[in-house]
Amino acid sequence: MPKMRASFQGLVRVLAKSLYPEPDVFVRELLQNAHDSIQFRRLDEPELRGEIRVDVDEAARTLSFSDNGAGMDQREIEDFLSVIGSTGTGSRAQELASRAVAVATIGQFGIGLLSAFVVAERIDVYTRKPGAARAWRWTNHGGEDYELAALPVDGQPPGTRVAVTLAPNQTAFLDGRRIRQIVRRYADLLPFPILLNGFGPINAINAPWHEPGWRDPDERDRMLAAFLSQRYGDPPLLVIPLDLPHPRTLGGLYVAARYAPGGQAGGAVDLFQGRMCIRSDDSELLPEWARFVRGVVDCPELQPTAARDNVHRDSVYHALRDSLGETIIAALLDLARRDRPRFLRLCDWHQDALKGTAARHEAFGAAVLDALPFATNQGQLTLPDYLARQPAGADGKRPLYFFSHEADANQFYPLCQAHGVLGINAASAFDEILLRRYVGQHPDQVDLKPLDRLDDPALYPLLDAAAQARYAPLLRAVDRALAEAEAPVRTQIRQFQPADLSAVVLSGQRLTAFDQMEQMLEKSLLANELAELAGEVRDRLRRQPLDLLLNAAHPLVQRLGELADPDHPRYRPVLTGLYYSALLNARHRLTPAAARRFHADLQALLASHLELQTRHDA
Amino acid sequence: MTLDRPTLARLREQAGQARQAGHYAQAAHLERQAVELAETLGLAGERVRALLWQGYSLRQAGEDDLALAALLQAINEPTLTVDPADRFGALIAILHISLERKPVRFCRALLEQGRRELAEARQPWSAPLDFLEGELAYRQGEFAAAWHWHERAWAGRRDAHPRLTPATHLWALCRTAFRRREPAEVERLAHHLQELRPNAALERPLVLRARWLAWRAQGVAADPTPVEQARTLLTRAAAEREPRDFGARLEALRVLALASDWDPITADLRQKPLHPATFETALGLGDLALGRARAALGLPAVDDDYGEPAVDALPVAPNSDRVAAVLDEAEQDYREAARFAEEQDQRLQTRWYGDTVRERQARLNRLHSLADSRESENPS
Repeated sequence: MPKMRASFQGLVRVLAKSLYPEPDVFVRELLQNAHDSIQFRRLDEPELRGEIRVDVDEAARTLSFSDNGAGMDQREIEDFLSVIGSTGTGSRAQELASRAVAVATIGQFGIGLLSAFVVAERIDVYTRKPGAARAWRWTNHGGEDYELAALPVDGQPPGTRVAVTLAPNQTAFLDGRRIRQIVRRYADLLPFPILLNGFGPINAINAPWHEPGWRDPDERDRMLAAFLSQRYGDPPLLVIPLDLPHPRTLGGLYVAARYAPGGQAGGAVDLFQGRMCIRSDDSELLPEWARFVRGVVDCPELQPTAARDNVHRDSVYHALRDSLGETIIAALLDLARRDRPRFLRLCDWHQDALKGTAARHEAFGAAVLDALPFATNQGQLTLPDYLARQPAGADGKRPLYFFSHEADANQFYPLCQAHGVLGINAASAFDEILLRRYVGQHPDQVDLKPLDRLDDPALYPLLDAAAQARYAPLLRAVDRALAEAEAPVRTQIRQFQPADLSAVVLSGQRLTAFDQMEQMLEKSLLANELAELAGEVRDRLRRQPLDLLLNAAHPLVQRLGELADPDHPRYRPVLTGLYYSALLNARHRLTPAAARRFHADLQALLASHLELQTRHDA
Repeated sequence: MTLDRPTLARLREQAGQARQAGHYAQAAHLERQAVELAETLGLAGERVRALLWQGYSLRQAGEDDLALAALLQAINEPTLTVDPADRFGALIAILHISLERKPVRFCRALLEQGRRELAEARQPWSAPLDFLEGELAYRQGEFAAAWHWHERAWAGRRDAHPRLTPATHLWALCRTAFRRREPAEVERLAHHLQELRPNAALERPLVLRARWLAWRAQGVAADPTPVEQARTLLTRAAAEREPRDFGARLEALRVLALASDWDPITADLRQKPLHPATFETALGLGDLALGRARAALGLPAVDDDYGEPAVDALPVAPNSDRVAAVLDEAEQDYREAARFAEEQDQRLQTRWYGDTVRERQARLNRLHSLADSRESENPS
């Protein structure tokens, strides 16, 4: 029977590539091997100053990783280096563990060297054990054959040098900047200096949680802020130290102080284990809602995959995820209590992130909703603060006034202020959702009251019948003066505060939609039926009247109300001026046609004012 | 405030969730914010996508003019900066609205424009257009043609934007099969729809409605489940104060009338009166009144969409005042329906609406005659 045949060389490369989809992982693996080797030598020589060197030889297309660690003899090379899946580190660590000797090594699976074959066409390993009479050179081209040659003792100092000859299409790894980046990403916290072409160290060596000051809360926060700021290039507004007992986890998270366009995405962490980053920018470990947070998590209890570029989703992983969520929420609430200005700054910069997250994730929303600030006519208030300032009604409920059109803030704030009404500007994204959720959570205590419902007599009190009748000619005159306005206007008279607001205009989203249709039709690309439809829609939206409320408390309106013939053409610019100024105060855009009319009326008004002034002066 | 792509993505995601939960006004508000943010960020493609979904959300919220305003803005964007799928999606949404208010000529012209754009873009997106052809034929009372187009649309459906949901296709097929009086097809499609387990608030009632059509198509089978479901729907809708029911309420009322379960119907209409503001509602209210008249005359319930068995004599002596009152009610509702029917027939170039109302009015007249003859036999 014919037998299947396999290419060992092909299998090695396939295995390497499938295990290590990111080619730069070979740098991590070789640095890790170097670290483990130094740790083993330090068992016998505790005073040894470990050092790892990375050297680039562009001419030879070679990248070398050297350590002054334990090195290997012929037996170890044959048992571990030449057998895929056999690990020197793991075997020695197990053997030492059986003798109750602890050693802080990282490698486990014996396949790290394999990762180099993703980018290499040849690997040479030069190694010598301290005190050994000879050194060795092991050479492999990615096949099952390897060469092992003895070298004179001066051919290699104690330790190991792995020389990776890169494939011609992988020379990008000879770029010093790229190596520096990879080292920072994966090996920043290795406890030995890493030198690049003799310079350095290019790694941080220690994280704050490796330093003695970690136990002091102030010092811890300071160190963590400096570390995270340097690592991510973002000044943190809030740092969240991680010192969790179950599963044992150290590290730090942060919320950036400012938005950096093109900055690193939030919601991701660099996952460290035994000082080596095994997964950078992991976006799954933090709870789904924590998109505004990033940082470093060092948890030795997580179970890495064979490629050591991810961890298993086991009970430890889920417990850690839950703990991180609780820690973030606790830190936010603690900041809200402890340092209100900073919390408000954080909410300001990350308003959409925090409120969007609170709106989307009920658990997070329930935890933080009481602490989130909302814009009101009396400044930023939390909902409990807001309600504490509101009197309870006969049914025991406290009113929660809000409006949701950004354009209305200009006119609603003074109205609210004058009436002693506390109004929330819920125009920002997610605000209204959160208000409705809050009311849903407290249905017996809170009553939601939209302020932009037309005709609220609490804001715009009606006049008595006699006063109404006195203003009837003025209202008719205004309606006639505005007959050519782009939308029909329904004019009413009310008497409201503040008295210096002559008129307000109340409109729904139809006016905005009408504006948009007008703008669109000015530069329409639509043809035939769609152009016809657009015209129809614009006209239908135009027919929806908007309400203009004149304020009988305002002296100008009072004077106009006293006119015997407010319809006279000379008053027209004044009447239309009331409407346009109310429209502008509500921050509505004037359509080009309306702007032209307003401009013409204003010119007439100015001319007449000048005429009066010159007569007066004369 | 952060003005960035993640915020835009969050807004759009939140809007999607609001739609899924049936909160269309809120979804439209969030999409509007996304439109503005995309504009600030200079992301024309994202702006158009948000406009498309704002338009869709407004449409479901019952704001057709505002929906059209958003959708037309989406189409007005220069094509180079926009995903053609979004532009095509906006055209499809405009067509959906147009089918309910614009003349056939207009709808046909837009359908042709859609076909032309597809041919130019060389995109395999014909299923939504076939679906709309089916909807147009259905509205014209051309149920064989409607079936053909809807079958073609379902067969050509691709699971990629722009698309209609499977539930939308199956529901269209189901009600067309009902009109074609094919109970086995209705049953099969209702079952298929049930198996889909649609999750969106808008689509969940379609499962119930299809089940009710299957029940009616089989001649009001003995199965009590549809009747219980109709009762539950009315109770729940009353408690939730649903702003729009998309037709499920009227169908629940029809089911209960066919089961001669009049108490919940009376309670529901008293709590939330139905106004004959459309052809379907006016006709439905007329059918309910006609059903009440039959009940008062001691006649069996009849599905007016499926015709009426001939009745020569009344089994019981009627309460003449009660009968007269409900027959009057039916007459008024059918008169309203006739008014709408005239508009619809003219707009859609068909006679189906007028014929349908005339048929109902003939039944009404027969009941009048029966009641009158019985009264003349028993003048007391």
